[in-house]
Amino acid sequence: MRTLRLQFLTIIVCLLVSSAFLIAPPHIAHAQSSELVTARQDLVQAFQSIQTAEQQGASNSDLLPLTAQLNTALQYEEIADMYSRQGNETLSVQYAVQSISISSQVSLKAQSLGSSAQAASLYRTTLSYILAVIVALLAAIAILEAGRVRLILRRRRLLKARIDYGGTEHAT
Amino acid sequence: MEAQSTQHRFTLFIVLFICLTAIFTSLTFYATSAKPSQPFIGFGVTSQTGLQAYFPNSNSSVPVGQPLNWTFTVTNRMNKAEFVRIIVRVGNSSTPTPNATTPSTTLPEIGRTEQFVNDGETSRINFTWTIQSSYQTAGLTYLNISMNRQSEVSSAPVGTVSGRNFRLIFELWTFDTPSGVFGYGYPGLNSQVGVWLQVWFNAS
Repeated sequence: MRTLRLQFLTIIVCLLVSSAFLIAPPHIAHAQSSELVTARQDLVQAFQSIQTAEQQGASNSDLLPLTAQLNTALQYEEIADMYSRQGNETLSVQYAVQSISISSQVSLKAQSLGSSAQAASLYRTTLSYILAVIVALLAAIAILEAGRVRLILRRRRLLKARIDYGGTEHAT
Repeated sequence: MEAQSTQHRFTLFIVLFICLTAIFTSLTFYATSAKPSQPFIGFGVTSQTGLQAYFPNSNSSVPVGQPLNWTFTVTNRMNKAEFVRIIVRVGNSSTPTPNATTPSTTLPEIGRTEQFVNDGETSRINFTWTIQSSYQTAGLTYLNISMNRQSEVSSAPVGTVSGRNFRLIFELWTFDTPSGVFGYGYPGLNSQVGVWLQVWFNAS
């Protein structure tokens, strides 16, 4: 009697477990190493640094090599992920570390480019507005003093002109 | 009288200076401001042998086991660098397609590829896809497809009669920096703009 009850319980448990799999099929997941997770985070961070550098005024030609480097880091991260899925943790970590190294370099370069571009942009803008004010000042003086300058020029022309005392002809 | 004239001239000078400063600083602002432009991302798929035969009810078919080397072209005119993801799905003539706002998340995903694209750059992303095998169930043909040497994926539940009129659907996703996740399409001026392509094929 006890054996029968045990068998019945075993069958029930087996049915419950299998029904759980039917309702929710087993999700194939693989544990990612901390290096792989960091590699992904660093890629995103480097990308954000590039976007910030763009907003600060860094030129496309300056940022193009950084984007190319970031794509290399992305490739390493993808290879690391592939090895991780295959269960080769050693190679996965190696590639993830390479990806982290490149991403960190890109992030630093982007930050440096961004800050120098921002300083240059601020300098250019300030200089442009100072020039605009100087040009306005000179133009205002020129307009206001145009009449006086014209008068001075006319006076100078008069002063330079030869005085004709009646010429060399004598009245006969 | 002389003092009054000087005062009058000074007032005139101030008024002139203010007016001209306003004009010249406005011109400087216009010259130094970024020109307005409509942001967009161009997306294309090409093959060295052409894609002329990849249309509905075509007579040509893709042989099982033959790797096909194709290229995605992504043109970034978003005024900022973009992190793009292209998701490849398989469908048939009756499965729903993505639209301007919604991707076809119900269709099986064959593979995906990611790339950083600089502003103003056109990036070419090569990929290889292969029909590894096909099998029939209940009168419908299903395929096992692999992309970029990734593990093969079954097209089920997407199947077709005699392996005709399958579709490869390519969806473009972009990384949204504030939320930290990929979103379908790219942010337009007023709303998200969905971008997708499709290529029809038969399997032999």
